[in-house]
Amino acid sequence: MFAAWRLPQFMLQALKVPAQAHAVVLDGQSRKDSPKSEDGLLLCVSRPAEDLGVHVGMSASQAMARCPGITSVYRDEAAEKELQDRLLKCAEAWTADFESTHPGLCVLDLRRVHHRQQPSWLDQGLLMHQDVREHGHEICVGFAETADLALLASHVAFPVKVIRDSMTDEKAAFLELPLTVLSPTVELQHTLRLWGIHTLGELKALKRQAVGERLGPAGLALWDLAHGGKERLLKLVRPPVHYRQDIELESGIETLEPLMHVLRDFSQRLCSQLSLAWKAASSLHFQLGFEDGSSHAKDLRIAEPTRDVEVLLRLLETHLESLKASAPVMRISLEITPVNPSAAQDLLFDRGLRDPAKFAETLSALEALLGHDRAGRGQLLPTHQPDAFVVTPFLEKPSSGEQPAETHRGLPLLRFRPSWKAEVQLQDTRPVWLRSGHLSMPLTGCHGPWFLSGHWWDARHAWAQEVWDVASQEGGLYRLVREKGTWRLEGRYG
Amino acid sequence: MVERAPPFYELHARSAFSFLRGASSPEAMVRQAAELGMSHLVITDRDGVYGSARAHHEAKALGIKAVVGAELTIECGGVLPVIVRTREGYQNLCRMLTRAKLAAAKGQSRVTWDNLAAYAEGLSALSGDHEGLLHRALDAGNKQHAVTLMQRLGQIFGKEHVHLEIHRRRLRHEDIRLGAIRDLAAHLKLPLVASNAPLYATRQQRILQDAFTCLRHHTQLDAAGLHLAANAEACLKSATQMQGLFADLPQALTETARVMEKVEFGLENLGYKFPSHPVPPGHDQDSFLRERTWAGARERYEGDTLNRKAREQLERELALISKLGFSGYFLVVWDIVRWIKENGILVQGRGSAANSAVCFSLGITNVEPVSNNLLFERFLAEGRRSWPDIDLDLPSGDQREKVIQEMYRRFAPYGAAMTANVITYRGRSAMREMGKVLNLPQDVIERFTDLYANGDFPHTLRLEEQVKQAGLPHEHPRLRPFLSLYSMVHGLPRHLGQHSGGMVLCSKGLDGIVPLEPATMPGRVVVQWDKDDCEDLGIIKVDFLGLGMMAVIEEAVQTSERRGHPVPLHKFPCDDPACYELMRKADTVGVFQIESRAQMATLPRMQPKNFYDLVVEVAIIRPGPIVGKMVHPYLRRRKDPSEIDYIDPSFEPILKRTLGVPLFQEQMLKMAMVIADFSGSEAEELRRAMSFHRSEERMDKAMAKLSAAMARKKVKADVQERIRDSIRSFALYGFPESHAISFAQLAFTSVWLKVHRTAEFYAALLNCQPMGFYSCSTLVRDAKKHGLRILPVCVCQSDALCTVMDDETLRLGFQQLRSFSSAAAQHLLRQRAAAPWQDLADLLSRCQFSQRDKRVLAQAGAFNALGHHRRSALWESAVPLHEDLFEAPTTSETSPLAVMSDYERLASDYEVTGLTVGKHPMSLIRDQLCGIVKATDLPLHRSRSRVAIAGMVICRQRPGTANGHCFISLEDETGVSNAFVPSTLFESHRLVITQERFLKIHGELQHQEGVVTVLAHGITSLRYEQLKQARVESHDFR
Repeated sequence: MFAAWRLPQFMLQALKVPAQAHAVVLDGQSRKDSPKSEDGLLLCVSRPAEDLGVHVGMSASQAMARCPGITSVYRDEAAEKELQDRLLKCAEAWTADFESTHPGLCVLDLRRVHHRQQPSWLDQGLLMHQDVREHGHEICVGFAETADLALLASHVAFPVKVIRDSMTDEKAAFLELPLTVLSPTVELQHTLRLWGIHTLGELKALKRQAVGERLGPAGLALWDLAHGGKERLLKLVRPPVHYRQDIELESGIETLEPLMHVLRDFSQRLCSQLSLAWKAASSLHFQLGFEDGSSHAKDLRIAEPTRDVEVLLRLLETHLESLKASAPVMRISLEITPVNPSAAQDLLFDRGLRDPAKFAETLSALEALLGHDRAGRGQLLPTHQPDAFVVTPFLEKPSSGEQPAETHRGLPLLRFRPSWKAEVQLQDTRPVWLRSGHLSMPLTGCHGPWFLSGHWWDARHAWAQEVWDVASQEGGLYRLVREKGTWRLEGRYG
Repeated sequence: MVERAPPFYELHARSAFSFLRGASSPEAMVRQAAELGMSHLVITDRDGVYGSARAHHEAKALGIKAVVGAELTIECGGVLPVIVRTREGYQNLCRMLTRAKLAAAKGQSRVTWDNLAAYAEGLSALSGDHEGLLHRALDAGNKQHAVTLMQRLGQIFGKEHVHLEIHRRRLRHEDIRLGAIRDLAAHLKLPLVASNAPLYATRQQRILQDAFTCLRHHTQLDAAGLHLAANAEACLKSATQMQGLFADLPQALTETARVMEKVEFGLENLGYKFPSHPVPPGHDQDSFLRERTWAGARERYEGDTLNRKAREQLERELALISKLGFSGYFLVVWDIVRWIKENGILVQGRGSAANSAVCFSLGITNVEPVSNNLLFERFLAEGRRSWPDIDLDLPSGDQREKVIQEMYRRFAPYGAAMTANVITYRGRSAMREMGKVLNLPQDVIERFTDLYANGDFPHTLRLEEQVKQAGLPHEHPRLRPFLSLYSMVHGLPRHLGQHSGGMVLCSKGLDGIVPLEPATMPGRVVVQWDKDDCEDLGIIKVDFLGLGMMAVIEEAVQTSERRGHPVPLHKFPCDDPACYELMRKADTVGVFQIESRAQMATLPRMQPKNFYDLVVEVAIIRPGPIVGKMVHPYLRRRKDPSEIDYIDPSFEPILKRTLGVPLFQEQMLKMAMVIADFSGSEAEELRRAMSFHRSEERMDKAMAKLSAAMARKKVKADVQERIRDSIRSFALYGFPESHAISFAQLAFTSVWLKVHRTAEFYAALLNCQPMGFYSCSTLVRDAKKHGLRILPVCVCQSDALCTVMDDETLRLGFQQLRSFSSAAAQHLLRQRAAAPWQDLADLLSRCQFSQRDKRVLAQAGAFNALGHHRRSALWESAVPLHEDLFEAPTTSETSPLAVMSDYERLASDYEVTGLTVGKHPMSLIRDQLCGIVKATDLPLHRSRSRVAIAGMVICRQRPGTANGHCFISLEDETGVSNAFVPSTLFESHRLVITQERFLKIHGELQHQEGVVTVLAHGITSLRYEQLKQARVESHDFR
């Protein structure tokens, strides 16, 4: 027996829009690509909106004309992927053999699944429905002897439908189903609409050879599906290979040495696994569970992808050396992110880094010392706002935008972070006296002002600065900034 | 008050005509310069002098001088600003730009070093800003290259005409670059000039400059980063401000004055000359014109119409034309018209030229002005500076293109070009571009576009409210910046298009007068100025306007002749009662000018009885008279002559024909001449000031002059006020009487054809689409109403175009089929001419159509004559052709597909032809409609009764004159019913009205003098499965 799961209004369900809402999903991507597209804007319409005359293919404005309070949301592919993954995970709990040829559609091969109490298929369907509902989603479940028939059954299921070969009356309900349930191509659908073929029953009534002559293999496949499909092998979904090792210990580990022993064992196994697949490790994710219930997790990036066990271990050891735990370790897990080994070498006789492993190790030590996200490469943001920067991980490729580069260099500035509040006395709009922190001095010279401003399009982030370079009697050279009427000492030159 | 400061002249200002590089109009730049006390301003727009004419006029009005310049994009990619010193320099600049533009792709320009050297005389060069050649060389770190570059420029322009430009815009590192340029200046002994290289007039426009920068880099503000300006200092600065910035380099300021001293040229000395006509030996331009005019007059003034009055008028006109030196112009236009007629193309002069007896005699116009009492001064007057305006109406399409190409040929090389049409940022484009820059949600932008359609006047809602309706809440952080950007960008130039028909002609190379550039349309060249700019600078423009109706008339006349019913064109009996009967019934769908909803609503009240009534009808339903509230008084006075009032007794002879209501520009001129003793040219100047829509100030000045003159003549205050009101109200849209007569002639011809050559008229109308007010669907429906039988497209009978089968039958042509290529149609016709089709298989095998072409023909029912209904034809034609001789296809099987139902046929018809010759969509759902009154039954109901109407929307209109109210026309199987939607109802149902194709409207029936309208109280969409696929077209907000 096969079970087909179908999530109606998949896109809306992915966006967690309640089924009773008047809502539509818009195609945000195509709109960004083309400045004005007339048709095909609504991708998915909720049932209540459909009842008010809103249908797929309308524009958002047309939908709004028919249903003034309608909620328009953009398609979210990430959310759809998440929902699809969840659906597959649920299916995985029922059988290892299942296919998913469309988002929101899943066919489970239940022939090899052994059921101790052998509940009826209907009950099993209800359980499946319940199972998915617990994740907050609605499905329709169809059961039949073939995969394609099960798919058709899912379209007449509310929420579960079981179709057996003998149930000819039940099968008759399929004849009324619209052709769209078979997901034909747009071109095929248009041709069939012109032919006046709107339902499975009408397609079934045509001769197979005649359909094949006119519509080719795609038409034949559609005709076969309308006839309940053929015995076929599922295009099975196989979970991705995980490079992961876990252990649950009976007695806790309290020192580094036995822990490293376990990690060496894990690393060796994972590296031979990687070796078989011609892969290398690009990062490590390891997790420790402690006796007191707490845990510690860490992602370690590797400077250059490798399968060298010693390199991985050095990286782990450097990090663990600085780790202090309040209780013995009870659980250890290590996972590797695999990548294809890099074939690129930037320099002819040298690699990008002299000793990538050592570099990664040092970084790891630094991070352990300073804290996560506090070690990395300072990268100036592409803005005229002085000192606007972000910290990016060393091992990430710095973003190379098409932005014009700031090429001018001047005296080095020792920046005060945060800058010091200052009081400035002006004469003819120029600063003549500065008081800030422990400094209080007359100014012998000043240069400026320079004006900088930006982000005016958002009042929350708009900024404007008046910048001066000022010199004190004892030869100090400072940078003064006035922003929103307040003076600040930004730093000292030299 | 602006402080007095040493003179400083900005030599390198850019306006919005630098397209996405400047953020203020040339006028705004000039105004700000004047405000800052500058006496000269050089506008150097990128690769053109687009804004120079506007700057020149604004400067002239403000008493300062706008100097012409441009930034040239050199072949290496850098930019070189140049300033025009002499007329030769200006001509060189124009020629250089023309060559650079014509050699590059549309929108691009690359001046070669060779051309720069060849056309440098009379120009001064600046080293430019960060995009300039010098800065690029310095950016590359190559000082020697910078030295070589400046030496090269010195050789090209002469060392005394090359200047090193320096800027200070309050940025930290700019003095490093300034230092490098100073070193260079010292080394090469070149002068430094200070400039702020402004991109906008005042600091406030910096935000728009940033937005334009984003558009130029195809990015948004959030992602534009360092592309954006660091501050708002790139504005025009006063001498005092510049002195403060360049206190250490005062000579750089003084040098700007020295540059200005060398400038001799201004656009007032453009040196434009209209081409003269080659005359036979023994003749000059004047004598030859005289000879041609009298020869023409004897031919065109039949019988005794060439009387003393006409002769005197001709003499008077010829004398004036000669005195003003326009004889050559008249001869050139006469020769063009002669060529057009010789080539069998219908032509008619329109506009004020129809006021001239000389134009009539030369065959340029068809309106005889003397017997029509038309005022010659509207066309030409002594003391007038600008050229008289002659517009020629031609059949639209290929015929007009033939004429345009002849002009290019005749005045080649560089002697003729189309005038430009400056496309500006308007509601929807401003929203789209500024919304994109601010990264507003895409659906908000789209909804705004849907809500506020083209030509829809949104003055009932504030912009803020419109944006809110489009989905941007009031508290949105980007709403305020959006509103600022929107108001700043509104009206600024976006790109340059080409005018629909205006061509400028020149005797000695137009490329020395204004730069020419390629238009998007192949084979067309445009000048960089629009028609107003050209007119203001005295450049003559001849309008070759394409009129769809001229093409219809031409085709209908030819078809009638072929069918043995020749049409007495230009000799119609203008008193034909059947024609006026049709007009009185407002049965004017498809005819010229009087077919719009508003015209049709007036005709039954106007009850036209003679040709002049038609002239008034054409002129009165226009924004001017409507806004001026002239329509109702005129109609009332027609009914009750006791209401006629001439404002002042002296106006009676002028306003008698229009019952005291000043409708025409000629009347306005005469009124000014009578009441204020204006001369002909003064009166014409008044008219031009008021039709010059870019300057309110100009209009105010002209009105002040009129008021002063009236006061001098002691005209009563209330009379003065009424005169001013009536002049002001239709000034913007004023219509010359001669123009109305020309249009009325075309309107009458089209009515005559509709009445007496019905089949030929409708066939031509369908063949000349798109044109006019109604879609093909409505025209076919109207043709059927007039007893014609319209047959669908047929592979055995149809031609490429619609054909007349007999007096009562038309056959649609293949041209009506959307997505059916004309090549396929021609192939089909060739095959059919070779031998008739035996059957469908024979046709398919001989024509070898693509699947799409076969499907379109089958869907349209074009194979019906071969024994196949639409579905069976679809079934048969879907089989790919078999070349295999041994394996026969199975096509001989009978089609298993059911015949299309009525509504399936309807959907199919609309999909492939946009119309149906079968049942009207409304007839398919008539049984399901309850309490809906059909269009033809509406007049049977009592006025003020409650009714409901329903139908297919064929027209939505919301004219600017209607205070936000909307007019909707619904078509059903019996005719058209009209509804008036008050603005409040429109606003509350805006989306339903603009988005739905079928509507149901209930309200109060208003029955007034034969005009039936429903005053809408409620509107709902009409949604039936049968109507879902009917993709009907409507005439919306145009």
